[in-house]
Amino acid sequence: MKKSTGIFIGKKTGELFLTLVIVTMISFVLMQFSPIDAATAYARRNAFAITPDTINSLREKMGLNDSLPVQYFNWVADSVHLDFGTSYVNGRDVFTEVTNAFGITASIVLISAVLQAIGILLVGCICYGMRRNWLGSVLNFICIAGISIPAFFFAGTFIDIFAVRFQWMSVAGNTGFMRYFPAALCLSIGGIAFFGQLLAGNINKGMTEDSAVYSRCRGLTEKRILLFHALPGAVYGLLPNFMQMLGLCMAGSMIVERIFSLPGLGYLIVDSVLFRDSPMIHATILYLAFSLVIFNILSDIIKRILQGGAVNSEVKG
Amino acid sequence: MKNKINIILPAAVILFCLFGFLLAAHNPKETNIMNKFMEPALQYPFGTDELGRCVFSRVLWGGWVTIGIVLAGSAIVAVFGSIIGLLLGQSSSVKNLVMDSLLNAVTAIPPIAYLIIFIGIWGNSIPTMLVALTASLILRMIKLVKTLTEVEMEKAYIMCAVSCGAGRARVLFVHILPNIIKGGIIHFLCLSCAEMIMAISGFSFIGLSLGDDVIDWGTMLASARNMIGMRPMLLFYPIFFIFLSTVSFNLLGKQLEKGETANA
Repeated sequence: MKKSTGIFIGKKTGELFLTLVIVTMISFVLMQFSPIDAATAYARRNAFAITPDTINSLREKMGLNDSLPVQYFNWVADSVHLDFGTSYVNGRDVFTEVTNAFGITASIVLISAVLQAIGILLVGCICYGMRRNWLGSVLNFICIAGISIPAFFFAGTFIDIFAVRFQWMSVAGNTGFMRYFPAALCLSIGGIAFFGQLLAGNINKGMTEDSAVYSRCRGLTEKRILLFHALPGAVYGLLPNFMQMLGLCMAGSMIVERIFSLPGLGYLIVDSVLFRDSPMIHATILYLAFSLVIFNILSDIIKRILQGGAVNSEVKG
Repeated sequence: MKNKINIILPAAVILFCLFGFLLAAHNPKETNIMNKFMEPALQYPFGTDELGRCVFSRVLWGGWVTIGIVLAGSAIVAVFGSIIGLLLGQSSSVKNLVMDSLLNAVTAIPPIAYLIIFIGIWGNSIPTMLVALTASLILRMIKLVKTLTEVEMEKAYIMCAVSCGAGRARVLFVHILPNIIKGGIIHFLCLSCAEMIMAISGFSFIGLSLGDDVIDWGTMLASARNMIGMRPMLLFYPIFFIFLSTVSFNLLGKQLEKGETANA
């Protein structure tokens, strides 16, 4: 057991570094083939007179004259010391900027995770309870609609209704919890709709399994079987996927952030895209990849604990 | 029979969203400032927008662009992803281990993150979107096909086929491929299509549009939001079509999966 745990940890760490290396390489290679030259864009933005001389000296300064592998290794060597360079746009330190943005995105995703957990449990149980009812079909359809309507539409409508029409909150510039809550809410609707249905299906499966039949023979009430046997099993079965979903939210929150004007990772990346700010883009992509892999690894760890603990020997990933 | 309707109906809706532009009566880019904010009428079924353009024609052309990108990308992914996946799945050697860990590492990042990377660096345009979409999905597809192939290779019918003298190509493409197409590929593609429609319109909604002169649902939504005080219904038409097409893809995926488990 102990040895296999060691192998597991080693494998996951290897996966983490491999992913980070591959993703950053992709972003460097793509940058190389970018149709717009970073130095020219920089010169345009700062209203330099664009002559071949200024462009050339800029390229020299930005290290664009080195070959791609050299550029990449220079960047890696710096980023190991958490030095991601300075932004081409405003000259600020990329590391602090990206870390701040990361904090905002992480708060949104964490609040959204809590909301999703509550929502999934509620929707899943209601869906299961009403599965034979016509209300159940309506609820099922609402769930499919929830998956099919994009989060950015919820976000836009939310602002139009609560901030513009009723003025219960300001469009931007909320502070504290309310700053993140609307974004987190809009982000979680899709997840709730998707996993609520899955949970209802899993509960249904748990209630028709042999173990449930035996529990009924022991004289346990349906409610007790549902709450203490079928529901935990169904929840455990979904936990690994839920973790991966949270990783997806890190990437998916970008559009919602943009609409709520929250300066998170997504906001940063869109801005740096518009300004061709390559140090910022590379660092943001690195952070994004890192958080995604961490969520994936968490999911694998949960899967492993569940399988090892034999809580439910038929947990499916 | 009921099952068939459940498959045909979403498929028909998707085809309508794709080829509906053939029904468009007006030029979607033709502006006529005199006719702005017209109510729906026979000539303009959905009315006109702030520049007097026919909303009905614009929505249909938007479908051609969005669904066209998604379906073209999926077609490329389906063909190349399954061929590479099949070839990787049937060889078991040391290089498999390397490929495995590479694939695991690359697919740890969800497709939307790849979209962000590609768009982040190349800027948004139709070719970029197509390349990004294909690149991000094909890796997942290869992994899926590879895993499914490995499962199928263990089954008895493959052994029978081999002992009847079937060659490697015949085993892969005649015996395994039909099984895994029904057993997961179509379902995967349908769900990814739904996701991609939302991602594409999301990106153009926040201003990373597909190009200056390209009509698509996200851009229409964004401009309709500015006009919400004047004519809120403008917001409804594009979102309804986004909803219609994603629901169709989701239902199609669900039905095909259900039909498969019912047959098995």
